[in-house]
Parts: sequence; C-alpha cells; structure tokens
Amino acid sequence: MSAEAAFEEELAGRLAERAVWVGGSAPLAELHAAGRRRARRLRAVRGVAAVAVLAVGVGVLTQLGGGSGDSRTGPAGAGMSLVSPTPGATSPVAVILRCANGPTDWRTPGLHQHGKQVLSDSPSPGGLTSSGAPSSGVPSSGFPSSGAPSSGGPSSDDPSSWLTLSGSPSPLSYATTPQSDLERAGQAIEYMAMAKYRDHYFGTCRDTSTNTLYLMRVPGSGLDAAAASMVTDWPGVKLQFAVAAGSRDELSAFGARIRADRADWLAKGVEIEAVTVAIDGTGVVVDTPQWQTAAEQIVATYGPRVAEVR
Amino acid sequence: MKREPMRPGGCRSDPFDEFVAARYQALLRGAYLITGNVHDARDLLHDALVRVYPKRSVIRDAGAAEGYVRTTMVRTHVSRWRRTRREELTSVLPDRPVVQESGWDDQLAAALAGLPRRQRAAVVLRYYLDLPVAQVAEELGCSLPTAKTHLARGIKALRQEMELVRELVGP
Repeated sequence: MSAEAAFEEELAGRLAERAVWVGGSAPLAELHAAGRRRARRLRAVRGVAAVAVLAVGVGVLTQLGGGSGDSRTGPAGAGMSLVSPTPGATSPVAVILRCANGPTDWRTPGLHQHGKQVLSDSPSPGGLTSSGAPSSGVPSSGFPSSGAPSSGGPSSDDPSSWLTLSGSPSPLSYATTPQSDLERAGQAIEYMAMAKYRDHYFGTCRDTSTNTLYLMRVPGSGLDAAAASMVTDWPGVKLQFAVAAGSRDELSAFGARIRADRADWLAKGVEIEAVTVAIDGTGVVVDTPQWQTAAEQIVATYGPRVAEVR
Repeated sequence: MKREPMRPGGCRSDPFDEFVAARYQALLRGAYLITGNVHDARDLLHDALVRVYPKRSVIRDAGAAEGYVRTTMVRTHVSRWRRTRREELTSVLPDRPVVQESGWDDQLAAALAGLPRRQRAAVVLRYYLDLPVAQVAEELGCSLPTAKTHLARGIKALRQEMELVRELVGP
C-alpha cells in the first residue's frame, strides 16, 4: 500500500472517530413549523414576483400600444383598440383608433357602473338619446356602413353629418389588401387633418370588417372635401363623417376648465372625481359619486358639451 | 400540499419525517465535520432540512432525499462562507456558551480548520461519507476536474499539516 493510500485510509478512520460522539434527536416539530414558514414565504415571494412581472408586462404593452397616459385609453367598447401614435404627427393627440361599428361602440352612455342612463334628455351635438342611438351621428351595431341612414341609424337631423362616400379607383391606388388600404387611407387623412384642420379635427377610427373609415370632426371646414378627395386614392375604402362637439384641443381645454372648478363643486357637495374627453368626440365625461343629483346642475353650468355625467 | 397518508393503525406517517428520524444523526455528523462546530452543524443541517421541506412531495425516491439534503447542506455552507466574508469585523467578542466538544484528535481538527471550505467539504464527502469523486463534484456543484483538484489540494494540505505535527510531537 502506498503512503498516499495509507494516509487516505488513516484519514477516513480518524474522521469517523472525530464525528462519532456527535448525536441528538431531530426536532421534527420545529422543522415542520420552520418548513411551513419557508413554504409560505416562497409562495408569497413567487406571488409578488408574478404580479411584478405582470405589471411590467402590462406597462410595456401599454407603452407599445400607444398608452401615453391619455384618458382615451379608458373607455370600454367592442372591437376597440388603441394603436401607436401616428409617426411623424405634429401633435401627441394624433391617435388612430380601431372600431367595430363606428365611434359610438366605444362609449355607451349610461352603461357605466351605475347601469342607468344619465343624460337622457340633455342635448348634445350628436343627438345623445336614451334609446341608445348613436350619440355622434354614426351608425351603431347593425347599421350599414355605407348608404343612407335607416332605422337604428343616426339621431342627428343634419343630413350633412351622414355624408357617406365610397372611394373610386384611381391611378394612385395600391394593389394591396382592403385592410392595408384602410390603414393607409386612415394615416393619410390623419396627417392631413392634423396639419391643416386641427381646429376642426377630433379623430378617426377604422372598421376593418366593413372597410370603413370614420372621421370625427366639427363640421364647417374644408376637411370633409379634402378627406373625400383623398380617400378616392384607395378604392373600396368607405368614408363616413361623424360630428364631434369640438376639436380635440378644444375638448381638452374644456375638460381642464371643469377640473379647475373642482373646489367650487366640492363646496356644493359634489365631488368631481375625473373629467375625460369622450372617446367618440361628443364632449367630455364627468365622473362623480353624486351623478344622480348633480348631473343636471353640471350640464346646466357647462352646457351641452358635457356628454355624460356618471 | 399533499395529504399525508394514514397508516392502518390510524397514526399519520410522513416519509420525510421517517427519513429525518432515521438519518438525522448521520447527517449531523457529516455537518459537524464540514463546519467543525456542533452548533454550526445543527444550524446548517436544520437550515438544509427546512429548505428541502417544501419540496418533499416531489422527492419520489426516499433514498435520494439524503443526497438532496446533503447537497443543500454543502452548498449552503459554501454560500454562508461567502456571506461571512461580507460580515463586519468587531473587536468585542460576543458571549458564547460553554461548548463541550470532543477532545479527540485535535490535531485532525486543527488541520481541517486550516482548509478552505470547499476543500474541507470535498474531503469530508470523499473520505468520511465515502462518496465517489463524481458525486462529490455533483454535491459541491462543480466539475469533476475541479472536485479532483479540491480533493488533491485538501489531502496534500492535511498530510503536510499532520506530518509536521507528528514530527514535532512524535508518533
């Protein structure tokens, strides 16, 4: 046996001798309690980590999806999604929205948490009614995306707000799918409206199912004619106009004015929680816990551009 | 959490409890040789058992549980060593309980205490627990050549130390 092997054998024996006196019984109850504590801690840590990851993911998706903190990301509505701000736009308000059946699908007055119509009789530019008809003169679900209004159509009496155009072929037409034509038409009109008709322009939305572009604007400018002319470059894209209560800048300023009066309203016992621009351009939406009693007073104070008190 | 099976007699039986009851002493002795202190050994073993406790339901083979606990113990010991290096030094010694440890083979104890922790753990795993080198490497969390290096250096240092003492004191 080599010296090395002999040493290893001696070491093994001496290690065993050194440890032989150590003993004791296992404190099972303490181990169980400590183990359960550790398991609970692990579960809590994993839960917190999962929530943190989820929050970060939602934040990232919100940012990627155009969530710039604008209040318009809030409203619920079938088929609505907010996409990135238009590249190169002259203002951060240039947001393109997708809608399934026109802007009114985004916001159904009275269907907020209270589940009741609030401003059933109050006038609004788009003819806000309690029947659930469109508030800005665009078709709601079931209404044809082109052609004359029919039952279930707009409540607005102004036929000009219902101008419906279909694009005709032109040499500039792109040989692409209808949906990409819709995207292109929407972007082009968005750029043009933001650059030249900002005082009248509110926004656009696109219904890909009917290949319809809705343009929300304040009537009375050259925007309608310019958009109608532009859309002819994309055959198959239908253009519909919807009446907005004001340009986006105007409605934002109007909302800020109401927010500035919060203290006055609080003194009257009305707590204004939030003031947001209605996503369908019909005005601003005021959130208050006293919506049942204060709605008429708020509308009377600020006028018909208060689209909803809820 | 899995419901614990019931024995025919009605008394509850947890395989993990049975394993701990059966192997506690052996594991404690290994921990003692790794740490060099019986209190640290208990602390280390209990820490390892608590770490394994939440995962006991996924350990299918009862025989593997010991290796699992031992691996946890060794790796915790190494990480503790890393943590200890960041501790603040103080000139005031804390009160310590009177420890009545084995007076046997203080020469071996001193030689082991001079080894770095990885080498010491490798020596204990190989020569006390008689594990193959490959398993030593696995439990240390390193490659086979690294484990061999730890073992070779550990043995060399121990041999030098013990032979030096033997020369000074005599056999």
